[in-house]
Amino acid sequence: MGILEQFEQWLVNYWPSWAAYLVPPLVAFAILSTFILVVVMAFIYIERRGIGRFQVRLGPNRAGPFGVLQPVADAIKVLIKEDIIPAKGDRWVHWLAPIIAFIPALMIFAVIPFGHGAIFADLNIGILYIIAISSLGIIGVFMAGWGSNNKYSLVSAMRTVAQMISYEIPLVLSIIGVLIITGSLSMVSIVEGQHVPFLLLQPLGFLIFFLAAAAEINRTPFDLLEAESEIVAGYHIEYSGMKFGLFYLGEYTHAFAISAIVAILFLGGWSGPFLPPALWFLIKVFSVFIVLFWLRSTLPRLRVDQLMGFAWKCLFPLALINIFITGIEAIIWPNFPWQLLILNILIAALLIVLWSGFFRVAGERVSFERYGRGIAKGLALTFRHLFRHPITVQYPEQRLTPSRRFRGNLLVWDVERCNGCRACARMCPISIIDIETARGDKGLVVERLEIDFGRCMFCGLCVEACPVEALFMSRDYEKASYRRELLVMKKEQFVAAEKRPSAYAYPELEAEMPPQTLLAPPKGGR
Amino acid sequence: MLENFGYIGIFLIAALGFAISTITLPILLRRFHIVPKKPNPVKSSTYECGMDTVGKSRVQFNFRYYFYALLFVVFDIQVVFLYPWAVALGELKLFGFLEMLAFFSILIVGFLYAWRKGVLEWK
Repeated sequence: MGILEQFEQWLVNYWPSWAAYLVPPLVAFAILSTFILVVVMAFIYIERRGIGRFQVRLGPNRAGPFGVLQPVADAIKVLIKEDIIPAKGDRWVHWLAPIIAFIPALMIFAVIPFGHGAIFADLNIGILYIIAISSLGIIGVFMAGWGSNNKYSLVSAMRTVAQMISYEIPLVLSIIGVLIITGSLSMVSIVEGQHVPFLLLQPLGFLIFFLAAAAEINRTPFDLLEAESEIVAGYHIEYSGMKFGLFYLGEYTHAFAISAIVAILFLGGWSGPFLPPALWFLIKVFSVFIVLFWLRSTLPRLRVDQLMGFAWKCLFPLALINIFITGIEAIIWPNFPWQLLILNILIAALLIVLWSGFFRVAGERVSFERYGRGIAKGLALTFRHLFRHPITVQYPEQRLTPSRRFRGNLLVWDVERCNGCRACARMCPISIIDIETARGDKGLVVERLEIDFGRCMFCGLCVEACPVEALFMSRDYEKASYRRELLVMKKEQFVAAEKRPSAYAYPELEAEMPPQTLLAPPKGGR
Repeated sequence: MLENFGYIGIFLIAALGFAISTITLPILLRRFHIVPKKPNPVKSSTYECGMDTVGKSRVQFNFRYYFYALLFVVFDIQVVFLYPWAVALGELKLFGFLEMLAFFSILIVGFLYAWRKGVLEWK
């Protein structure tokens, strides 16, 4: 008997039966949604920090200790941003899309068991319900793409539908192996039927499910719908404020749901020794999620033809073969003895190696020797990066000394040497040097000098043009301002500025300069 | 068991309330001047990296999407038959297995035909 039913039976003693029926699920929903929000925030934090470390970066670390409050800061920012609706867009569809994209991701949690009896509704068709519900999210994404009235979002929406329906087939087929073994669709009995984790009994099904699920929640390498290098932000390009926030929340809620489903179907759910069941469940969910973003930080994005080819030519046939192998095993050995583990792992390895050499994707044969080893090497490399010192610095506090011959973005002007010939102003290809001269007792005197560093492209032609070497490039590399006018340097500022010339033009100064700080020191350093 | 489905209904209503209240919260905050509302024609124009949209936004798209949609419908319906079969395989034994094999082989012939015809190639 679940916790909810016990709560209801206790309430019946005090309240009328309809209230006793209504209140427990509402209370449970409040607890569950708060819990989901907290876990999603933890996911966002772990993912951003983790990907930072996988890529030898620092990751967000400003808001709160170690950047823990970063998701909270993001949430507040998203909440108080202006909501922009495109003028040509379809208002209603634009409004409804984030709601429809978010609700299915949340609805999955109604049948996810977090422990003994800790389940919202123990449906006897649990996994079928999840499959039916989770595929509804596509409609929201497609509505977003259509309602925005933007070519990028429409392209993204079409890709999303194609990708999601293609990967849904292997996803649902790979679960069938598990169903044959347990003989039940209920999530609770699937967990209770796992004496060994099905990861070992169904290795092929696990791999297919994991890859297809990564595609379903649009994680890189399957994030074609958000390919920022091609279609900017995909379907949510026209979304801002809380509507975008709901998409973002829905994406991570879906990622949490998928990690939970993987943990339940293949890793034994809440069962485990020593620790309390809910803790075991969370440990498993988080480890699945960590593997997901480990893949994300390692692999580049696939092309659309590779993506579709992979779903239909590799995952789909393998999922079918997996069903029939499991079916034969279920008929010959109905009790699934432990020797089957070894047999199944061998079969899975053999099938992957054989099948990968069998089909072509985009006119190219996918050889396991090439891609399998390449992916494994890449994963190992990013894992090693976790333990390296990050090569980014905390910028305003920590500064780098540039190379001695570094030619920076500011000009140093020597007023003593300048003879006011205006060669620099004539040479400037974008005419940003404004110089006015007047006749003095020893020739021309510069009265006004203005250089717009907001537009300067640091070509160095003015320095080359100067016949008396009065202009040279400095070693500074910082130039920033909140107002464009402040980027225009005047004569007085040039005179007052500290002269830090580059050793490129003045090699005799090189010996006195501080050495360059290296981001990635050679072996043995730091 | 039926009351569990009732729970799902309550969950759906609560989730709807949750989503709608999150999305309308900025409208409430706009009353207190926390969320700005300053639309202008440039801001609400279609975002295409600074360029003006050429022609209609809802353009024709690649017909290959329909091939995948058709394949999806065929195999998704097959999945509907597979789920009860998988749960009951323990009682159906060999006969049920062979029956499903026969059903499958018909669909697989169609799949192989599509594959040979180059439907799965994206060009």
